[in-house]
Amino acid sequence: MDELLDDFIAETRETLETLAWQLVQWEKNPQDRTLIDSVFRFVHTVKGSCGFLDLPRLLRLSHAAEDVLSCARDGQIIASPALVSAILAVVDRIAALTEALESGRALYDDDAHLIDAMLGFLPSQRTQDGADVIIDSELPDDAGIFAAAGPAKSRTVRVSLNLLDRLMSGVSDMVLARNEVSRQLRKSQTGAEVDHAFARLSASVAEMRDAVGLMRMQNIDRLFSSLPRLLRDISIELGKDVELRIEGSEVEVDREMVEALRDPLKHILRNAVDHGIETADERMAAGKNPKGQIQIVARQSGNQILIEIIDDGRGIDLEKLGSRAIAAKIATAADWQIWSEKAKLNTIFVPGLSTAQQVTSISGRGVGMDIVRSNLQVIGGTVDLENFEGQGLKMTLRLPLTLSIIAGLSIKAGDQFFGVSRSSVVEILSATNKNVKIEELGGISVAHIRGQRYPYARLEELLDIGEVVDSSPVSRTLIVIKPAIGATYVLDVESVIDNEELVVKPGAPIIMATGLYAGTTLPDNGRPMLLLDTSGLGAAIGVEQVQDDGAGKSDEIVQQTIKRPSALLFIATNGVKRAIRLNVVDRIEDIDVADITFVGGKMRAKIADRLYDICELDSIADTGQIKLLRLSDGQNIKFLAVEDVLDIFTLDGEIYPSAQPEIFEGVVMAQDESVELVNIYHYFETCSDVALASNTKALCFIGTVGDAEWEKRILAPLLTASGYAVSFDDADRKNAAIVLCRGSGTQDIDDTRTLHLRDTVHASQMPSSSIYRYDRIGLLSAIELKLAGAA
Amino acid sequence: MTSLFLIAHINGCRVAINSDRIESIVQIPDIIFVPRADPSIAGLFALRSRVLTLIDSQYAVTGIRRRLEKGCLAVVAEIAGHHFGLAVDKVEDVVSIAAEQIQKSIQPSAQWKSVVSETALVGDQLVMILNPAKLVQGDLSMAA
Repeated sequence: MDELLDDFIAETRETLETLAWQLVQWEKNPQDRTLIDSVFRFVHTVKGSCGFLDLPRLLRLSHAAEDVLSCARDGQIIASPALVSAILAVVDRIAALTEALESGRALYDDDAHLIDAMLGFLPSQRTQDGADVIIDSELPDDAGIFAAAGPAKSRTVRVSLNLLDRLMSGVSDMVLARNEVSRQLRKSQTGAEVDHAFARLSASVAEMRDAVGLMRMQNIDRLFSSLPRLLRDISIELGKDVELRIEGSEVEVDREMVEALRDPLKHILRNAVDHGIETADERMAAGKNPKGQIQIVARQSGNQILIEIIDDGRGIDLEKLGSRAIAAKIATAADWQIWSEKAKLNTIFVPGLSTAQQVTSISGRGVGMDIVRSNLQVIGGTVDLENFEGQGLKMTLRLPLTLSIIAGLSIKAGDQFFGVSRSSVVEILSATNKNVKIEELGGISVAHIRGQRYPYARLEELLDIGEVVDSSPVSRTLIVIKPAIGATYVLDVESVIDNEELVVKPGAPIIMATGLYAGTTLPDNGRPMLLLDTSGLGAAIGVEQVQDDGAGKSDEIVQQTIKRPSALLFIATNGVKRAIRLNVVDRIEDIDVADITFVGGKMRAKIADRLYDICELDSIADTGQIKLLRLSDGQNIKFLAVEDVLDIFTLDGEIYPSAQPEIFEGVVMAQDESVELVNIYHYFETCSDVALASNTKALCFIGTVGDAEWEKRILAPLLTASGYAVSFDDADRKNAAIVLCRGSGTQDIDDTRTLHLRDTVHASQMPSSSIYRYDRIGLLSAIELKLAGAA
Repeated sequence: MTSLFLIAHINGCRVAINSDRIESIVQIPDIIFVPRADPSIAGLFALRSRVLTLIDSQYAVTGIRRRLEKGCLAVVAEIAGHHFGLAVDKVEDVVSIAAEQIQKSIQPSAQWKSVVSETALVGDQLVMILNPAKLVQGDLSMAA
């Protein structure tokens, strides 16, 4: 929450800085519509953020200012210099309050005077609306906010991106220089001392490079983290039950982009809940799940980042939109007749248009969507709409990938290396794999992989480069690629070299004109590499250029996977062939044994500063790498150590029951051998992360009489470790789900939540429901029983 | 007004390039070929941490690609926000050419016309003034 507040302060201050000039201009030309629009947008954004950060004073001010500005914009009141000054006074107050919020000082509250002065300009009936709002939000809690702001803040500096860019290229230079030095050192026989010093230098250069990379890049999660809370607040306010699903939060984007996307996403989400999602009754009448669904999917595809926001609401009513657009003089009735659906939909991005029936404090002033578009345009992005009337709306934000780090594969074709974004790679298999057949069909080649047929091309032929004719024929590699635009195809390359992080930079226009490349990158070896544009390559092969990620199709894919689950065949660490369901396997990783340690009773791997459990790994060698399967159930990640990975096969045969169903789901046939199919639940059931999620913690109150050492030292840690919150505070007693007390607390006998603990193994004169205090399992199961009974 | 010009040789001819555009003159390290790109692109090379596009200047003039090897000379120039290396045979000197020395009356041969529109008298020899922006546009007839 503090982080969000900081963001809000920084954002508001920044907007105010840019707005300052426009405010002055507006004072001079009160009639200028574009200036009103930009002031309006600012106030609207502040209002939205305050609403969800719970800052009532700012909310009141911005709401009132918005009311007045909205009237001025619609021409209901004439913007006069006196009105402008009144509004400016409110804007100044917003600025002062924001400052106060940061410094933690209190600010004298005479907001009501400012608001009254401003609302005096409104036509009479509007004044009352505004007054309403003031009354219902008159809460004397400003002091609380300022006190909560707290004295100690983590200090940050704002640095210009130019400087960051310079730093980044400087560090890259340093890496290249280090590589050169290392080459020179290898040539000249130097002593151990020099080597040692060089190793230290290398380590610090590498660390610096990582740090600089992090300075610019941010996980898109940072952008998404505030959304669930936002959605919750909106849905409570509107009385709609909405579920938000976020996928692909591992995408990394430029820091600048995160900032630029923050507002648009908020507005889109607000609009989706307010206008898109119907009330539960309407939804049931339309035969939908009464709970609304909003899905946000981020993925990176070639040289773009796609963010899709999909809701299953009512979609956009084009007819209604038309009448609004005509009323707002955005289009004439004649225009509307001839415009394409796309042009019609795009009118929602024009300032001043809204299809909402009434103005709410959330949306409906027709201002949100134009912020969305203008913010996106600043960073070179676009927004597309797909309207399914009555079924929902899908909004796709497309963002460029300038200077961003992507996870890429380097591949070899001919005597050249190319990069390809890993996000578009579905799978990599060997051309000699038994499941693969290349068929000729009327002069073109088709790859046949496990019952699916894909267009197929050799990269060398596509790019017109000579194949290296090697005396020893090596097995080539097939990469199944699913680009953002176009159908899935198979690319035949000489080999896949490595899996690395690539810094993508745009290529010269003359290179981009080929349509085959997404940019250039400079790997550590100092030799430039071209990054392939997977969509462009698809076009060169001649695959159909339709975007095949429509809602209907993805359902189909889901159904297919349900019908034909696949499994991965591997050799387990004990040398036995086993299979695991493919849908839980994220990817295969090779981890240095140096990053694996035996701590806390488990083997754990340190990956990107986090520790992950490794299953089925008993011992580690001193050096080398260990192959791990990254398993995920959507929430938790575990690694499964394997000796080697053999193949992927379809689980279409029968699954024979296993004698140890908790470890093996059953026995299946793979490559004419019977192998055990690993029970994946078995790896995740021991995962305690879920139990520790803070919002699910049930509160246990421990009643104490006199010396409470045992409760504090033994009982409380046990409960905490089992995922319960513990309190000794009498004030929490009434909220607690469980009340624990030791000895004969007779006054609690009526309370159904109470569990009695006794000091002896045998129950004597204690109430019969008491539990021996060292009976850990008994105690925990009794708590669970109580909780289940209460629910 | 006088500007500094670099005198370089392309396809054996002396040309002048305005030094405002020039960042440095470098020996090209390894060249990475760009498949299927415009024939005037000789490839990519790395200069410090940047990736630059190497232009085969001779191709623009003669229509024949030159075999560019590691170690050849290139003039590094920033054109429209991107950095390019323009391959040259050799560089001679930097000279100052006054605005009045530049004239358009003598036009170069058809070969050069796509990249040169002005000439100037330097010493007692006439040199062509190269417009680097034209070099990096590629073969427009092919793109069309």
